[in-house]
Amino acid sequence: MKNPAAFMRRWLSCVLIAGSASLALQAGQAAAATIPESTDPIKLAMNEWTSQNLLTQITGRLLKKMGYNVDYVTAGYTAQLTPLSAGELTASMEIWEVNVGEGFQPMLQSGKLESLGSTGLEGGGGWVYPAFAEKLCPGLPDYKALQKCPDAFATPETMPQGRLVDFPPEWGNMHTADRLASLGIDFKPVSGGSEGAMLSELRSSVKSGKPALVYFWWPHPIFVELDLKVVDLPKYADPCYSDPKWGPNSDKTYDCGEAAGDIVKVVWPGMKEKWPAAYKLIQAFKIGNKEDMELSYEIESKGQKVEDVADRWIAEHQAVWQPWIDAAQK
Amino acid sequence: MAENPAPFLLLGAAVILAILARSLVPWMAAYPADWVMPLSHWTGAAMAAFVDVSKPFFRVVSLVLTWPLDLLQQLLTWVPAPVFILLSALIAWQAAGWRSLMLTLFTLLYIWVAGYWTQSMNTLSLVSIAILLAAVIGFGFGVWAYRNFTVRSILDPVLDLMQTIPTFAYLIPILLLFGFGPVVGLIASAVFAAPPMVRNTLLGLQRVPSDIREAGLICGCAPGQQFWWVDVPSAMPQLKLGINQTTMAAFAMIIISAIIGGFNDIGWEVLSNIRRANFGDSILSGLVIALLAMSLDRITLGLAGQSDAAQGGGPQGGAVQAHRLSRRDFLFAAIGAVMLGAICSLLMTRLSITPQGRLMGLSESINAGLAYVTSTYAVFLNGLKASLLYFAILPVKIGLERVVTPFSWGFALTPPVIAAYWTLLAAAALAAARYRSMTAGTAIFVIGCFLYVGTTGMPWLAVVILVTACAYRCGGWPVAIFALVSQVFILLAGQWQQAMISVYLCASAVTLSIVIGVALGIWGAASDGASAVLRQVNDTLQTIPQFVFLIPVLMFFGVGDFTGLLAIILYAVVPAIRYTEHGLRQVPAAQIEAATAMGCTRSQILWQVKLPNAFPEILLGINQTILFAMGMLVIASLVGTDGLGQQIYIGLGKNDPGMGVIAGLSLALIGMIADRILRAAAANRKTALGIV
Repeated sequence: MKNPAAFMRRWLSCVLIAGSASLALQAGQAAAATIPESTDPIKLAMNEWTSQNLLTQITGRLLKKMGYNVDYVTAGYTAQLTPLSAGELTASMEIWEVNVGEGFQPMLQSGKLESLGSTGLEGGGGWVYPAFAEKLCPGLPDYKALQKCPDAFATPETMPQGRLVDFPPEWGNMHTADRLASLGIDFKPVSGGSEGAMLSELRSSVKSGKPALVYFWWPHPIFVELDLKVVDLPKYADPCYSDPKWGPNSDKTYDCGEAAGDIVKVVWPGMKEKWPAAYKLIQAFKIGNKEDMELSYEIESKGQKVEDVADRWIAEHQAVWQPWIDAAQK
Repeated sequence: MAENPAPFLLLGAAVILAILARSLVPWMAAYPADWVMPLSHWTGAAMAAFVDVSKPFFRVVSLVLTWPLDLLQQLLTWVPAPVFILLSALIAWQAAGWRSLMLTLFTLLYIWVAGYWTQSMNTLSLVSIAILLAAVIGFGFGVWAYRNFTVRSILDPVLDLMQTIPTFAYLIPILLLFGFGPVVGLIASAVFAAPPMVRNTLLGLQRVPSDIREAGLICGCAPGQQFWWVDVPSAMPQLKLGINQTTMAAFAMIIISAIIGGFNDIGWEVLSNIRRANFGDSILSGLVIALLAMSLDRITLGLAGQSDAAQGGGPQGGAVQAHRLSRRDFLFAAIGAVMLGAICSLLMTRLSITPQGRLMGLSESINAGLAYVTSTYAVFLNGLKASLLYFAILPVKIGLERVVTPFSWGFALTPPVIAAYWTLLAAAALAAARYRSMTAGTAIFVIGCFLYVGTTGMPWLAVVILVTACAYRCGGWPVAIFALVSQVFILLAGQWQQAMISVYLCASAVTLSIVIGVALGIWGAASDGASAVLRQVNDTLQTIPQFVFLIPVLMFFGVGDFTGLLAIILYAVVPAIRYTEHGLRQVPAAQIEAATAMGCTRSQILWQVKLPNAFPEILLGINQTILFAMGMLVIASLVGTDGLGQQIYIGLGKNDPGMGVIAGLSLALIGMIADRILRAAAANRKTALGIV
């Protein structure tokens, strides 16, 4: 090495050129799409139930593929709304409009929360019974069959009436007593207490061969685990709850099934500014009832981990999610 | 000793009159809605105002508490499992000896193998800070109460309320004040866990012997020196006992903290498993809490100066810890444990051995077993449930007048049957009054009335009169006035109907718990082997999250009061067993020897010497049983029971803080009425027996 100074100079300029080139390259990329727009972690709420956790984990994986940092934050279903409106949580992937509580709609309207539309899940609820009960109460699933055989569903506490295991009263009044009365069904609604108790009731009914009528909602993995049927009630329409003349009983209201509500994705309103592409991805995300219930069933009853099932879904469904990412990155 | 029968006859007549007047006077049957004051509305408004004013302050507290919690959580999850296990085992041994070491080792290995390590470390960090907080605050208030009489007299009922109002009742206010996240659970735990520390601090300081104190004064201690160098060291054993009780209380709150949410801890894990009604997973994760609580119980008891050998025998154990290492040796041992643990964990990473997932099949087998029992014994279980409901539970709830039908009892309640019932009841009451006492006769008559109309059918005025009279009889005017005022509060708050459902649930559960618990307690007192078994069972029942029991009971018996009752009994039976055994074992040996010398048979000794002597202690156990049963009411409403417990949940669902607090307060007042009456009865009995 005859001239170290010259060598150093050349070497330095090489480094500088390379450096600035890479900078320029980065700048070029930035101009096309600055994803992630912010490296702050996107905080996804993990609520109490499997399906919600699954949707959250899938979304989190897609966001990571786009380059975002993602945190999964454990949060109670009703307790999460306040931190969501404050940006302490960024998004919650499965909010049921029918049961999230009275505080939700005002928060949407005042712009404290933003709904990014349906999850694709079609939620609903109704009176559910194990399929074998049709032998003991012929004519099911038509609700008129229940008028004739309350004794098949009777228990010591309700005798001679049939027993309907209803949702717990803290969920609010969904007019079960009115509905039973106006449809002429002689059943006594009793509180189901909690989701676990209602699930046990259904499983116990199947195992012991004693029929039970339980209010339940879908999508839920119990419909994959057990052979359950839903009682056919007159389909809900707006006048049913207000106009006595409407429906099979011309003297009373509530002579129909219950109104269905959407299951939506809810985000912190600041998300649109801070992580626009992630916002678009969550907007695009959709899944169907059947797929959701089957995957949840594998987690709940077959001992699989949510994370593994989410990984597998990602591996098998590139055709589904690639377009969401492509659209979000535009 | 002849008693004046007039007050008793008057009482009986009042009850009968009230029952007869039900159908004629509408306000007698049900407390009229117009007489209700909007107490819950006022409470809600007052609380909202308080929250608005003081929110910034509490938010700062919450923020400050977040730091140590985050720090400890990061530390505990960072430390490799083998290091933590070895170090904890060493501490357990140093504190309490071999058995404690084995228990701690088993607990931590189980947690590791079952795959709950991270969650458990999160829980431990939360619980540790909660205990620290509760201990410091509790100590402060204890000292303050010791120095100031006014504070002491105010603090006593406040502590009662803190321990008897179900935590769910004040969940919404706490959430509003402190915001969201694990800190809220931390604060709720600290609130619940502080009272035992306050009580023990006060007790310890009050019990410092005066000669020690005088010796300090003679040596010329300044007030500060006197306190820190004389009073506190002498009160230390009691203070450590307080820390032990605080620890247990903090563990009892794990599930509640999880309901508030925001933390990936073991409580959340249990809660999710229960939500899915997955019994196998619930019991595996619930066991983590039970084992952790038991390990920490032994360790803290050991630190309080009780060796393993002494713990079995009762609270007065020897303080000798022969095996303990000196401080320097302990330090060396600790460094050794850390290094050994680090090597283990390095080796395991190298060889990629993981202990997790070896219990995978266990949960499925437990579930399969449960399903098998449910389907095989369905007929038997249904028959059992139906007969207990028809012949025992429903009469207490809605009364024979509504239960007895040809379908349930095989005959209808015709006028001759009714006449026969009342004649028999009157005869039994008169006979008891004649040959035992007026109190016994009146008690039989009142119970007969309750069975006929049911707890929920009894006119409210009759209940108020009866309870107040009973309070007066046992504890004089102070107790009677307290009982009366509390009942008027429940009436004015419009909670009467719900309260009576809670009373019926509690009364049935407590009666059954006493029968079972006293029988088991007698068994435990008679044999050391049985005592050891019962101790394990009691510890598990008391520390495992109560929800976990509910799943198998639900599978067998479905939702409803019956399942709720069984769940309450499983929890409330524990003090009945413990106090009976303790009471029987404390009967002076001289008395038993005297009875043996007089030629008493074993059953005579039990019934005529031991049980009467142990009676005051058993009454205290019953008192605890009632309080435990009240505490379980909120949880029983998760399996579909009605009553005040359910009201608290409705308050939560409606986001109505006033409603939850009022229902919780009503529940606490009922518990306190029972507590005051029973304590007075136990005191009377002790005076009568001459053991003060």
